[in-house]
Amino acid sequence: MIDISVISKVRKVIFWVAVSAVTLFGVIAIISFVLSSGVLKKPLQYPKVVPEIRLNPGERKVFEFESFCLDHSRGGPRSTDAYSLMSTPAMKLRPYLRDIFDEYLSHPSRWNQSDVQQAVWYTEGRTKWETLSPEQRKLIQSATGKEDPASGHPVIFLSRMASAFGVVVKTNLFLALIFLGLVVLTLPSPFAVIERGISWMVGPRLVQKLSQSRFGQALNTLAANKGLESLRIHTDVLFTRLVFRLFSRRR
Amino acid sequence: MGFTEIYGYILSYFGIGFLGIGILLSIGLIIPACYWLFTSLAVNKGSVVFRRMLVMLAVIYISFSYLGSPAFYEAAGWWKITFLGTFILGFIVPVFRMDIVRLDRRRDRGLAWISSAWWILLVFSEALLVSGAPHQVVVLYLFIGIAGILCGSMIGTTLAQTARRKIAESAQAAGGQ
Repeated sequence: MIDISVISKVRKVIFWVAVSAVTLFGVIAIISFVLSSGVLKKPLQYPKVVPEIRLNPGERKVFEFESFCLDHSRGGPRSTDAYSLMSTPAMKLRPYLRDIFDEYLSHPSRWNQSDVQQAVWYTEGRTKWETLSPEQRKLIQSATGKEDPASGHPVIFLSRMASAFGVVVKTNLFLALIFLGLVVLTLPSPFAVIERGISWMVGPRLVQKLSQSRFGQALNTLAANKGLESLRIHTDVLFTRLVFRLFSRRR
Repeated sequence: MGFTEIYGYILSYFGIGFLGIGILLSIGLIIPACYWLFTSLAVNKGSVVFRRMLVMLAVIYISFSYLGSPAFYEAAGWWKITFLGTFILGFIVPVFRMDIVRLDRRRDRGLAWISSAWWILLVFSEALLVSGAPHQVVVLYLFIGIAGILCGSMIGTTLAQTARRKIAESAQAAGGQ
């Protein structure tokens, strides 16, 4: 049986979480708007340099493009990988990337492609300013107007940390959630197993509180659900019958 | 800086906080998750087939999503074939050696050992990934190999146990007549 009071509580929680999120993002948006309203935006030069591509139906044109790698940690593309010309969100999301490309396209004869590539990788936050050549530093300074702009930039720091830890966090959290679900779905008294698993991290009082709480009881109730029990038994019976039939034929 | 840049700049501080919480949680939860894996896998009581099938699906999902992440692009190109090969190996060995299966065992230690090897390799590979070690192809192949053996042996061992029970029942029935 589902407790109606729980549903109304969940509704309230969802409502207040949504209101808090909207307020937080709204306040940040207002602060950003106030801070950015007085600042003059540097006009981009590259739309003047890059040709506009328009094709009539059935028409074919050949263009040559220079390409740059945006992610230093990824492997090189294979010969069979398809290339497609498209805009990338990195241009908007990664700080200083647009400025570097704009500087290069505005003065292509002044900068080397390899220096531009190093500058692009520098915006990932993995390359130290000291390891760059004077020419590469000059390019970054001319593009951004700052010396070592990536140092201490929170967006670059976050993306660097996310690329290093993102996979690990995602895998570990999924693993914990999935195995927690498996314990609940497949063991007769799941909270005893869950308790033994977390007892090393939290105090015995908290474990006791958890087991007596609605959450603990709900897990045990879910595990004892008749439908679930019948699913477990039927799967086992089906598998056993299949094996018995296989071995009866052999004999 | 424009509106978008400042908006992203402020939001990234919150992002750093959330990522920090995620890192702490993932470090704290990986150990109970490992205990839950060993317990649900090794116990020979209750609905074993249902449990092992779900664990197998979970192991396949986690291993595949981990190796399919962009961080390992091109690192281990033959991992699906490796998984299939080791899965078959893990399935065949317990089925062909069902004569040594003991039905009175409460826990399956072999499965617990293989699952602990799978877990250790996963944590080791994650540590290498975080430390920025450039080459971990050997670890990745070992990891997917162990994942294949684990999944194959889960089904193989369960099949061997069920078949052994059938043989024991048939022998008992024949002895009774």
